[in-house]
Amino acid sequence: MSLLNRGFAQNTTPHRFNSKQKVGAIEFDTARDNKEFHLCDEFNIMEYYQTNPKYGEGFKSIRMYFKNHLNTINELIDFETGIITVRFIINCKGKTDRFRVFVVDGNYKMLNINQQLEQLCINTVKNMGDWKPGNDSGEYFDSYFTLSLKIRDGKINGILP
Amino acid sequence: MGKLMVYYRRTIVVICLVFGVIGCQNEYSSSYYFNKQKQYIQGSVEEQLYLDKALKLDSLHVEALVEKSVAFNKRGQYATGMHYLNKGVALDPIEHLGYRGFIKLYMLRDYDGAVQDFLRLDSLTPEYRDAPWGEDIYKVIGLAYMGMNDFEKALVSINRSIEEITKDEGEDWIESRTFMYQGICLMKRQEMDLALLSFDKQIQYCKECPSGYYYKAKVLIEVGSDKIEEMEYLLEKANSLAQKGLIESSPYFELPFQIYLSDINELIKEFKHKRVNKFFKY
Repeated sequence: MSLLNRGFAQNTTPHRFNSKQKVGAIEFDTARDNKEFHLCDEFNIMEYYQTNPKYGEGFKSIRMYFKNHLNTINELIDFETGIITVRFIINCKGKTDRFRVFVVDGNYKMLNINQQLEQLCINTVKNMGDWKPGNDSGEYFDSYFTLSLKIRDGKINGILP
Repeated sequence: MGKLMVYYRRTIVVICLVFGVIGCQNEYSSSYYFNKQKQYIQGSVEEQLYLDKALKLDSLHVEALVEKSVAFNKRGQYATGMHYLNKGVALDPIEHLGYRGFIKLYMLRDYDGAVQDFLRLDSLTPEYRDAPWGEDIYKVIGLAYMGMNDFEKALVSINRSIEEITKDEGEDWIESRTFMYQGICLMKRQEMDLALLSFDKQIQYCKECPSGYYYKAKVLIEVGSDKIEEMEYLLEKANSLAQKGLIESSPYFELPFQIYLSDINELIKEFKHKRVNKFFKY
């Protein structure tokens, strides 16, 4: 357990190290990503739990935003149980890009979903607008954020984490 | 000559043993690489490289499997994260079921899965009360049942947590939000008087937590209480603490039944509206 405690203590504050190849790093992809999207420091992109970027008031605001989009997304879901995760970057100005989608089924095995659903999830998150950028002690950082849609009975029944 | 040969063989055996022990920590051992990764930031290239080396030499190195899962699960890559964590749990369920249950409960909101993990852990260790990730096992079982909207079972488990900690360590060892969860279960069962007592306990043990004041005010407003001044005080207190940024939260996930400043403001509005419309008993 001490091993895992180490992880918690170490990871809730920003650490500068080359984050380009870390677990969950998202490389720029000319085919998918916005060329106008700038990062303050491409070598030091933090995780959301280190810098706490926020959408409105937090998860309550995220839930309220998604309320208006649930039906459209639900219509395209063609599996019973799982989690659709959209991982993306919120830059130090609160702009978002580099969206990637990961999906698992109810047993946490990788699942492929239809292209339309994947694109709708990306567009929905993309259209959320600006975020409050992550910061620590008054310094603003680029941060990775992870939004997951929990699917039960073929419908979204929760937004994580 | 015979004695010399025996001495010679013993010396060889001793040398082999010494080198064998050192070998456990040399650069060719799984433990060596596992210890080496601890020097690096979680999820970094170096950390992953050394974990991979540790697992290449010993694919059943439980701690390495679990550590490998952490960064992936924290970063939303659950297929990889749970692949490693499940392997670790299969090899050492007593040590790691609690952590997996914690991940399922708080990060994945997989309440069925969390309950299964916690109950299995509890059954494997009948001689003591487990504390997955530092939280009492009956509290987290209760929370998982709350997530499943089974407030009956949730209350039984949370009550058990409170009773056993009180008996074994003393009431002041109970994490204050446990009383809040107890109060919410009681609210759901319309046992409002008992719910008020739970929120009083929460406030007693965390005077700076806005949620205790918020939920107590919510109950009083809901039942149409005549304690107008107390409701005003509770709402004002919740609001001022929230304004100071003292709402309980986690950097990783939204806490169960987390409140927001806007919830307090909405409750204040409701209170004022009901007061104007003489909803409360005077």
